[in-house]
This record gives sequence, structure tokens and C-alpha cells, in this order.
Amino acid sequence: MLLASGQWIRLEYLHDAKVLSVLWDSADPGQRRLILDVVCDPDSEDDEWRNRQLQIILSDAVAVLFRAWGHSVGDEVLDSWRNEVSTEMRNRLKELSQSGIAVPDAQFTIAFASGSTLQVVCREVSVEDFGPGNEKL
Amino acid sequence: VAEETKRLPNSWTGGRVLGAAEQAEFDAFAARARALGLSENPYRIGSWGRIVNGKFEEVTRIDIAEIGKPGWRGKTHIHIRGQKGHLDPKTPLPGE
Repeated sequence: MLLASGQWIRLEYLHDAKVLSVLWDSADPGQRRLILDVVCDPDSEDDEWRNRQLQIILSDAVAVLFRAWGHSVGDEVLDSWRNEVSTEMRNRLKELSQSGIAVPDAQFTIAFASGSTLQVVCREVSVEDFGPGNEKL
Repeated sequence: VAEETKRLPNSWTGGRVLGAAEQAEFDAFAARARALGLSENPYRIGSWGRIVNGKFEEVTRIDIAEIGKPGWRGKTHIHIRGQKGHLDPKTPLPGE
């Protein structure tokens, strides 16, 4: 399911989703994708996503900055999903744009409970529902 | 590190400067956690736990509400390891 830009606010409901994996997908030579496999929180206030296993696909990703901290053990959970990126990322995007690279509008900062952060600039967001969370993707 | 972290986008605040009320909530929770001998995750404000075998094991975490955010992002709550769901911040921590 493609999420139109007006629906990106819904990604905030991924708060406390268990993060199973973060994948940099280069299988398609025409684009790069960033894929997150998550299980939504059983206590989520999004009725449709509650306790569902989802794949969040960020397509045509032109820039990703991932600062990952592995010192924290236990489940990794998604803290917040913001529709903005850092000043550092904006400066990098400006450089890309000045060199003729098309910079898409979807710009996110995803924070994890460990303190890890993932900044992604991509063209579109889609969500695949794999059913009740069973962590068997 | 903690002061720097509060200005970075990897914290709950998203790099915002904390308001006085928000800071007070974090500080009050920190006092409770410290009284139990817990340490704060240097990269995530409000996450408290213990260092075990060289790793950080979270015991409890406070998520301070951010105005305008939907769902649980807009409500202050805590998490305690071993207890399900989003808990009232007044919920006793293990050992309290």
C-alpha cells in the first residue's frame, strides 16, 4: 500500500514497533531501497496496524545516514518517525541538488529506543502487511 | 556526552531544546532511576538500565509527550522491562 504524503503522519503510530531488521536493498539496479521489517506494538492506537508485522519500504532512496548503536541489548523498538532531517543532511542534499541530482521530498528521521537514528531521503513510502506479528518474514 | 546528545536527533526530543516542563519531567524520572542505582543510556535521554557484561540493559524508559503528536507519542508514559504496555509515569519502578 502506497502512502501518499498526506498519510505520512500515520508513520508516527509506529512508536514502540519492534524493529526486526533494516535492509539496504540494491537488488533493483534502477534504484536503492531502504526496508524496515517491524512488528507494531500490541498497544498501538492505529487499529489497522496494531500487532501487525509490516514491511516499510522507502523507495528510490537517494540518501541515508544511519548511526547505529549496538551497545543496548534487548528488543530494538522504534521511538519516533519525524518528517524532517538534520542540518547536516540538508547540507548534503543541497550539494547533491547543486550537482544536478534530483532530491525527492520524502525526508525522514527515524529514532530508535537504543539512541540509533536513521535519516532517509526517498521518493515514496509503501507499507506491506504480513499479518499478525509472528516475526517470520 | 549527555548534554550533547540532548541536541542531537537521536533522542526522544528530535534535537529540540527541551522546554522547562519537559526537562522537569525527565529530571524527576532521572532522580527516581538514580535512586535505584540505574545508569542512563548515553544516547537516549530517559532510558535507564544497567551495564551487564559490557552491554546496556534497559530497565525503564520514559517517553515525554510531544504536543501535537498522535497516539502514544502525544502522551507521557513509561515502560518497565517485564511489564506490558504504556504505563502511567507514577507506576512504581522495580525496587521502589
